Amino acid sequence: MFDLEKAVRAWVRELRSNPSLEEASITELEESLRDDVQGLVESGLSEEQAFRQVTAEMGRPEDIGAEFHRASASGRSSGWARRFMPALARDYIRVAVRKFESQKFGSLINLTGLAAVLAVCILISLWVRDELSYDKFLVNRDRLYLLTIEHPNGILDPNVPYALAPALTRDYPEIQLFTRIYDLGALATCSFSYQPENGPKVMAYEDSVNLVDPGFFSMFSFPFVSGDPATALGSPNAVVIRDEAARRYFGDGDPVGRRLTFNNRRDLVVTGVMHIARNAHIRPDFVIPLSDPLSGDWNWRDPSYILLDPSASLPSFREKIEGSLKTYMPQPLPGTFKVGLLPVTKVHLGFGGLTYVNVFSLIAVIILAIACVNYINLATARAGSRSREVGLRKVMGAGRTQLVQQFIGEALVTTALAFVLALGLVVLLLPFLNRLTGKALSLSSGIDPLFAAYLLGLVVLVGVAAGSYPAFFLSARRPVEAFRTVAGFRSKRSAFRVVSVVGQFAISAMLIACTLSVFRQLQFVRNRPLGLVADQVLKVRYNPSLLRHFESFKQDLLQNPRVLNVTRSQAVPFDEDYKTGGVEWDGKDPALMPLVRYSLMDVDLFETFGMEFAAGRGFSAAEAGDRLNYVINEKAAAYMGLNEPVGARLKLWGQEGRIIGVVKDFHHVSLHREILPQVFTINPRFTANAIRFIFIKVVPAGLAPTLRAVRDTAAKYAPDYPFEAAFLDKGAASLYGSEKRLGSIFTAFALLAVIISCLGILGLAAYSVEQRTKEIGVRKVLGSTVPAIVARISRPFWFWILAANLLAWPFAYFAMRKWLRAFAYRTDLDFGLFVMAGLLTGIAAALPVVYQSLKAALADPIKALRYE
Amino acid sequence: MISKNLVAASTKPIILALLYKEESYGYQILQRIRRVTGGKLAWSSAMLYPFLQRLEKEGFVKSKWKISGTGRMRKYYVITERGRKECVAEKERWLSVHDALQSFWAAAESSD
Repeated sequence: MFDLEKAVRAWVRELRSNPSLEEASITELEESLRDDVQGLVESGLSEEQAFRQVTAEMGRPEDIGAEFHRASASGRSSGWARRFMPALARDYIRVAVRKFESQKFGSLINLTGLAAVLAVCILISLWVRDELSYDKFLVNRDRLYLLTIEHPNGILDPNVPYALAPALTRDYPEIQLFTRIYDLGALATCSFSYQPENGPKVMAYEDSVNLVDPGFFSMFSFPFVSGDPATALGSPNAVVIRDEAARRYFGDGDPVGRRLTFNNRRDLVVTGVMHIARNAHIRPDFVIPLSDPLSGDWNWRDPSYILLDPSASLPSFREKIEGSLKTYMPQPLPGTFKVGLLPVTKVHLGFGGLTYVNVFSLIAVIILAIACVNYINLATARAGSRSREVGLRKVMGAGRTQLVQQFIGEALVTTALAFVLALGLVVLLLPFLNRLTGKALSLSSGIDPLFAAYLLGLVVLVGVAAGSYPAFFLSARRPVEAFRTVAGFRSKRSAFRVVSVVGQFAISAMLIACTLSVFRQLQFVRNRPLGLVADQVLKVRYNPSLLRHFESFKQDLLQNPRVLNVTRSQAVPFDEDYKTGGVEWDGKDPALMPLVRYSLMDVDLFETFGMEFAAGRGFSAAEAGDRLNYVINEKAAAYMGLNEPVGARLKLWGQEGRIIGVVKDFHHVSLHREILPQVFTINPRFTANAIRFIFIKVVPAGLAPTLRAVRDTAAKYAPDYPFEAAFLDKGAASLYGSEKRLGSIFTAFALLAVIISCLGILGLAAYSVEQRTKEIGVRKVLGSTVPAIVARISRPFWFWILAANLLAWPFAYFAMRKWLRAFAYRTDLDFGLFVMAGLLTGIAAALPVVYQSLKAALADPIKALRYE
Repeated sequence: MISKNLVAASTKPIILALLYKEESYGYQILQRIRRVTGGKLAWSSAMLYPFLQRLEKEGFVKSKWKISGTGRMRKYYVITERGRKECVAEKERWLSVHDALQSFWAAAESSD
């Protein structure tokens, strides 16, 4: 018997199983069904017949559902898909985390690579920001200029004659103030002592002692911790100390008004304590008023600054002073020396530094771009594994915008994560960078709102740049295609990958080649015989008391069998660079402006440093006439064109004498410096106030007791001065500093470049392997061996690495040739180094390539063939 | 037999016109269409209800539930102001099509 109620309920149950139908619609349909059935029954049909007819007309429940779905879908506005759905945001994060977990290796490498790059960019940014910030804190920075001289050969000289600034100020009302910075510390021994009312005397040698003109503090607005900058330089016995130096003498007490004794003979009164920020290009420890006007001194060794009147016109003033050297100098120099002005804020970077700022900024941009390209490569290489997800999302109604948002969001999250890692890296690496650069950069003090915004912008930029290509690439695919095979992803886009990877490896190869060349040059510098021996030579700080008793001091020391030689000089012979034009000799071309290095020294210097003679002899204490005689080096003999140098006449600063010997050429430790013609003199007229060091050659055995003996002897003759000594070989090592630093920087960048290129090639290899999954499976099934498969897959990569190297070598060659040219003495560029760089990049590339192809080759072929 | 496309196209103006004067519910609408057209327009409830839902989403009609005398739930559809405007607009559209057809047919007949 037919039960209408039961039939209707069964029909409704069936409708409910269709997810497209809402309960309200089902009720409505049920009521309609009942009405229909009732109407037909009234017209004479049986309940069963009526029910069958009506349900047949209505169609199957799934068709009804589809009809409702279509009506509702087409009724929806297009804005619906763009609405933000928090529920989905959670889902996106979940998916991102799952993807990360399922591809731990790739994701981790991607993240580390990105973090490393971001860290380097942050470090470079901190450094660049610091470099650009120099002297920006000075109140008068817009009107403060350094006087410069452009030499006829184009070199810009930061030093001008002492007499120039006063002469210009006298003649040009445009100049409000001037100051010269007479670097006393570099010319003579400077010591300061402070005797507290109770307690021992504090005394130390100082290198950073500047004599300045009265306008100094009106020009350089260094803040005063105590004292008044306006009156600080008012008295000739005033001294202003930098806060750090002040602590050495006075501890935490206020030094103003206290007495500081200079070289134990001149009392100075502290009139101020200044604080100088690290980003000032001059940071003297001691500032003392210049007592000598130096208005007739046309030598140049130190810088001069002028403060322009606010109303002055800079271009016309520049024009006026350009030729002033010729006007003022009593004996004008041949050739055109142009006087110029350099704004104070440009001084720090004005002599070569800007190149480094530009190069490093460029490096930051390049590695950022590479990191983005790598992210894109890795992300699109994995597109296959994500195409199903994308397809499903699209089928479920996700709009393109939503997908784009999802993928860019993922890239942003990755970048943000990498950024956090990068900050950690920066904290770890900052001490290293600070040691390398001698700066005190720090992340915490370095973050101001502007820099924070810059960092945020960096993260967003990288995230969006890295995420947008994969986002549009993935979301553009039609869902049906997405469900089809991954083989559908084979496309011309791989050309982009190949170019990017070849480019990266070219950069790596170039950096590696440069690194190797730098190290080779360093090795060359270290191993090259200098022509003098600095081992077991003790350098002792000279002082006025030792000056008085030098002969006794020397004789006392020579009693000690461990002491071989004792001498004194203005500077360490292989590190001094004092040059002069004040030399004349017989047969000199009157038009020639000579440039000769000079050494102010004492007898026994040649013996102490084991220098050899090509002709003649060295100075001797026994020959009273030697104080007027000169020794020159081989280069000088050639320079002066003297066939018989020994016995020839020579004039140094107007003092005529005879050449008694020609010493063999010797190198300076920094091989940047060319061997120049050099003149040696022991004339006390020149050396008396210039000598700064005593050199003592000792036997290698028992250095400690020897040092003790020297200290005791020094204490005997100079009890009023501190004893400061160091062995030269240690000091010599520090003179390689800039080359070593460059080596370290190159190594770091080369390492980074290799890491991120490996990242790039990893993406490429992963992509290539994914494309060939089926091929690999078929090959295995047909009996191919693992090594054969690895070889087959990795083959194209070797060509790319080779191409990258061929591309890199010319660049590396020219860059290194240019760098090496700065050395007066250098190695040849070795092609072997370039091959070595190629091998290294090859090895670096082999790791990811072999890893990926091994993974594919070792995989079960069934899986490879079943992956669809 | 009227084609499916034409039926689909005419659904909206017919329902809006039907609801113009008074509210109605699904079964009643079907019955009235059947009566007025003499069964020439083949409508099924499976087609009508989704369409009513769509009209509601588009804001041309509103719906409310009422309990009938027999205690049954009925969903009544009421035309909105927007629906009335749409109804007038639809009428104009259909009339212009109608006019066009008329004149073409007149021309066709006169040329015979």
